[in-house]
Amino acid sequence: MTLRYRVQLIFAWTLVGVPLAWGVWQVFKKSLDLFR
Amino acid sequence: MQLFSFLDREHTIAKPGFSRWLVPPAALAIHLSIGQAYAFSVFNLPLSRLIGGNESAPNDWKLSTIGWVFSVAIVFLGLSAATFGRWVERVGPRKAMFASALCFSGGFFVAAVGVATHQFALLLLGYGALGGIGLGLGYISPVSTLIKWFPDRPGMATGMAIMGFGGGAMIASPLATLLMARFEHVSPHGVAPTFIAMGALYFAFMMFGVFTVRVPRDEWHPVADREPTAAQRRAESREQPLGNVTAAQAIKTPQFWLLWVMLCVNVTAGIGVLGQASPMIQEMFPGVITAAAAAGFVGLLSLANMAGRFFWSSLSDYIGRKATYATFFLLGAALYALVPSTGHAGSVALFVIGYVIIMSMYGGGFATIPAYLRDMFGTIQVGAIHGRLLTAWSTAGVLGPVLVNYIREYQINHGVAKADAYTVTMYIMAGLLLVGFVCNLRVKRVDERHMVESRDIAPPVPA
Repeated sequence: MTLRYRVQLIFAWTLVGVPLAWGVWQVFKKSLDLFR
Repeated sequence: MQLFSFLDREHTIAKPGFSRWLVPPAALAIHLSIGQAYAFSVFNLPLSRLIGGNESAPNDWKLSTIGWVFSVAIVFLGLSAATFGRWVERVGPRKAMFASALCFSGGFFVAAVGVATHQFALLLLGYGALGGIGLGLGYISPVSTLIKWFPDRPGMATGMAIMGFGGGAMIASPLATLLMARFEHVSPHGVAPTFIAMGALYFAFMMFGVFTVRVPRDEWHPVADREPTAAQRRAESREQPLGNVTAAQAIKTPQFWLLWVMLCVNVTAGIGVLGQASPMIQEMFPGVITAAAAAGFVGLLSLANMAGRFFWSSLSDYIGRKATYATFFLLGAALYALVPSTGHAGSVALFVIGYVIIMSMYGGGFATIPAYLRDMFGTIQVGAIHGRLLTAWSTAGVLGPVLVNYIREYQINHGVAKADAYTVTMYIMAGLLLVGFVCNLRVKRVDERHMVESRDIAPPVPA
């Protein structure tokens, strides 16, 4: 795999991973109320 | 048109050195965006108070009326996926994703005009019809491309994308709340500007998917990232499709309709839990579970739904699609029948664990079906066949809540205690899953007379 595709790969997964992780974290925080 | 030639299939063929691992994030960009649909309910209350402000005015839209927007969107999702499936296969993923982005974002813009001018028809037409077409196109557009890039792991690849649809709501709900708070002073409850902002944001995000997606060259074969395990090899030899079936021919096979019923019952049963999760846990454990804790339970179920999409579809690459669905239906039926008893026994932990597993299988059912279709009908028109199968989802989306609410109401009207009414509903859901189990048992390989040569139907792709 060329360097260009490696960089693109990191960028692509970060771009979709960050909002997804943020969304999951928001729901996870809320779901903790179940155990309080 | 020359201007849009970059959208053509021949301009999306991957160059040597391209990593196939770039395709899942491209697909995720689309599914994370259109998954917003499942968070539409966050707008329900503000939309019902556009005129009244803090309370609904007589001229405000009723909540029951606003509920139609989501229902119409889901119906248009099914209809457009079924209608445009073959077009999507013909033009390739990039053009289909672009059309999806135009419709989905355009739907937001039209809906914003509808909200600003308080015309419900525009809201329904924009978000419901136009946005719904965007949902259908976006949902199926990356499926066959992913299956072609990951012939060794079709379950995992499509599961990853479809997991995005579950995750999309998790992003959209807090995002919409943030945006509405930000624009509160611009317009009533900030709904119209939020629609415009979300339309623009999602369009940009979907464009990333449009420009990143590639289709493999005809002669391309994956270089294995690692040696397949013995279980994977066994599953591959068992599940490998014998040939290709067109979408038109697929719907004439019993296999298609068996899978249709399986998806329909799995979704109906899942909706039965999702729709009632919050009141159910509060009524099962009165005084123990507060409204906030119940909201936490719903959040946990959403996480299980999303995680299940990836987990079960990936597992299906090892144990096979038939075994995966057999697990959904058998384990699901057992859990549906047993979990209410854990509620009566007063065990919150067992109750929650039971429903978390149930919801993971609900998501898993959605995510594993494209790979099951590939096993049955080959890869040539799997996206179009998947599109037609999604009518099962639309049917369950309407049938599920009606069935569940009707059974519950009937029980309560006949003197059954509220907590016990859920038990009966769950037994009926368990019965539905057993129907799915029988259908799954009856799925056999497609008869060779339905199959066609790839070259007869393959879209023209220069090597």
